[in-house]
Amino acid sequence: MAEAVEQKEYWRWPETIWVDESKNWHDAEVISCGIDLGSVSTQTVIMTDGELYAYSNLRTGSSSLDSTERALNAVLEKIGDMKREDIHYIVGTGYGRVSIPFANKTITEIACHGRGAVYIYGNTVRTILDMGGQDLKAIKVDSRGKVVNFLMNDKCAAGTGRGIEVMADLLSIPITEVGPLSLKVDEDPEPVSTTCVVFAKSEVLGLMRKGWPKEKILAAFFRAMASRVVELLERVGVEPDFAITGGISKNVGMVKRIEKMLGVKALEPKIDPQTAGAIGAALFGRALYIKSQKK
Amino acid sequence: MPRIRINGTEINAEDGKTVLEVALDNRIYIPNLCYHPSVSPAGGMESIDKIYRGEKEYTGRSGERYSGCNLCVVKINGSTVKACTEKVADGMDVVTEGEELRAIRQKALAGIFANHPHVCITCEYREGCDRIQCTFGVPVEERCCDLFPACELRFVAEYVGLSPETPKYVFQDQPVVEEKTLKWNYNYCINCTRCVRGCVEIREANALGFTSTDDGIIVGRPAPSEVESGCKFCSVCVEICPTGTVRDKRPTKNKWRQAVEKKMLPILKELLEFNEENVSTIPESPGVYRFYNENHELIYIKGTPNLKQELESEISTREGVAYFDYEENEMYTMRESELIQEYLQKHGRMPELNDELDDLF
Repeated sequence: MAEAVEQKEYWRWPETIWVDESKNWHDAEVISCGIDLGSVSTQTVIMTDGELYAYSNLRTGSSSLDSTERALNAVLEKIGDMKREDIHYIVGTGYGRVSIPFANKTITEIACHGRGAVYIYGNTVRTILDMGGQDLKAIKVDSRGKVVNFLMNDKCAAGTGRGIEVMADLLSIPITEVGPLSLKVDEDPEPVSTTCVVFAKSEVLGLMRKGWPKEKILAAFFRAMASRVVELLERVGVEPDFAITGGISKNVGMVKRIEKMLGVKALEPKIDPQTAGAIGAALFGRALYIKSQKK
Repeated sequence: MPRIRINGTEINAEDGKTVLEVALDNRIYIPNLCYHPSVSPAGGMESIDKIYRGEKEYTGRSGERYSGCNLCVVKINGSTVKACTEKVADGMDVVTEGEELRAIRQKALAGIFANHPHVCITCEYREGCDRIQCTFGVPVEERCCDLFPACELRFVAEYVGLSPETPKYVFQDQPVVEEKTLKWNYNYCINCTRCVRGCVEIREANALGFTSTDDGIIVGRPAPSEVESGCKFCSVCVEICPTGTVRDKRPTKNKWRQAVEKKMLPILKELLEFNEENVSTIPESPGVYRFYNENHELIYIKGTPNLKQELESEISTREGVAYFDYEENEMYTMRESELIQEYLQKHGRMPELNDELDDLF
C-alpha cells in the first residue's frame, strides 16, 4: 500500500481575528457591522460609533452562506458577550454580498473600498488599488471618499491573489514568505513573458528546470505582475496619495515593485488593509442606522 | 410645419431640419458616425492638397469632398437616401430599419473597420476586461484602446452588428504624435472629419484638415506641428472624436469644449415603461436592472438574485423612475460592477440614485 504523503498547502494564508480589548462595546451608541464576502476571503468588521472595534479575516468556503455565518460568529465569539441582536445595522459588500441573508442592506464594493480606504489612510488618498483574490480594481476618489473613476479586470487572474497562491504552491514556499524572498535578489531579472497564471506556471517550471533559484523566479514573476498592475493604474491616472488595499498589499515584494515602477510611494496602513471593504461597509451601516433613527 | 411619418409614427417636424435631426429629436435612433449635432454635415467641406500627421506628410488632391460614413441610410418614400443631408418635407414616409438598410450599414461599417481595431468589440469577454492581458493572445496593437467603455464607434457597431465579411484589421503603424496638450494616435482614426469641422466651425482655428487620395480621406494637421497649424488648444477635437484618436494629456475645461453637445448613442436595449404591467412580465431570475428618468437618462444600476421580486418592491417605493431595462445574468454582482465601470468612464460620477449614499459621507 502506498504511504500517505504529507501534503502542505503553501497557498494557505493566515486567518486573523482581532478585538480591541481597550474598548467596552457596551458604552457605544451605535454598533455597526460590515461584511465583505469576496471570492477568496471574507472579512467581518464591527465598529462602535464609527471606530474600529473588532474584525475577522477568514477564507471564503465553498458556500457563501456558511462563510458569512462563520465570519460573523468568529468575531462575536472572540468578543465574548456580544450577540447578533446587539448589532444595530449590518451592511454586506463584495461579490457575494447578496448571499448575506442577515444584512440590512448591500452596497457595491466599489463605494465601500473608497470609503474604507479613506478611513484607513486618511482623506488625502486619491487613488486606490484594490488587489483582491480574483480581480483587480483601480479606484479614484475625491476628498470625501466618493468614487469618481473606476477601472477593473475580472476576466483574468493575472495580477491577482490567486495567481500568487498558485506560484507559492508551485515553488513550495508559504505564501507569507514569497514577498520578502522575492526581494533577496541583487537586481530584478527579466520579467516572465506572461502574467497569465496558466502560462506563467509553465514558464516558471521551465525556469526551475534551468536551475534558477526560487527568489529569482519570484522576482521575475512579481515584476511581470507589477507591470500589469501599473498599466491598469496609469489608465485611471495615478494621483497622490496612493494606497493599496486587499490581500496583496501585504506582499512586500509586489508593493515595492509597484512603487518603484510608478515612482509613487504607497501610504503605510495603520490597520489590516484587507479589511478596507468591510470597514467602508460598517461606516455606511452606522450612517444608515443614524439616518433611519432620525425619521 | 411639415408632417412626416417615421416608422409609421406621425411627427411634426421642424422646418429646415434634416431627417436625421428630426428622428433623433424624437428619440428614434438612426445609426450615424460622421454626423455631430454641434457641427455641419460632413459633405460641406473641401479637402486641401496635403496634410501632416506629426512630421509625416500625406499628399492628395484639394477641393474634393468627403462622402460621409454612409451609416445613416434610410428609406424615404421607397428610395434609399442619407438621413443626414435630406431635409424634411411634408408627407415624407421614412423607414429607418430593414434588411436592406442593415446590409448597407454593415458594408459601410466593414469599410471603417478595415482600418480600425475591432476584435475587442466582438469579444465575449469584452466587459470587465482591461485589455492589458488578452486570453486569446491578440497582439496589443490589434486591441481596442482604453476608451473602450465610452467609445461611440463601439456602441454604433454593437447596434448595427459586424458582418462576417468585415476584413481582419491589419496594423498599419500610423503616426502617434505627442503635442503640447494632446496625444494623437492615428491608428484609431476613422477619418470621419468631425474634429476638422469642430476645429474650423467651433473654435475657428483651422488647425486641422483633410486631403483626398485614391484610398479615401486622410485627416491631419495642415502643418507639421500644432503651433504652426494655428492650434488654439481648445481641445474641442477631443470632445468631438468618436474614437480614441485624440486624447487629453491632462484634463482641461473651457467654454468651447463645454459647448460641444452630447450625442445620442444607440439604444441597445428597448426601455420599458416602469409600471406594474411591465414588471409583472419580468422573470424571477438573477440579473441586473437599470432605471432611467423621463429624459431617458440612466440613474440607477443594480444587480439582484430575483429580478421580479426586487422590481416589484421597487415600484411601490421608488420615485422619479420613468423607464427601466434588465438583463438576466447569473453573475449579477460582477455584471453590476461592469456596468457601473462603463457609466463612470462615460460620466466621471456614479449614477444619480447609486449616489444615494451621498449624504452619508
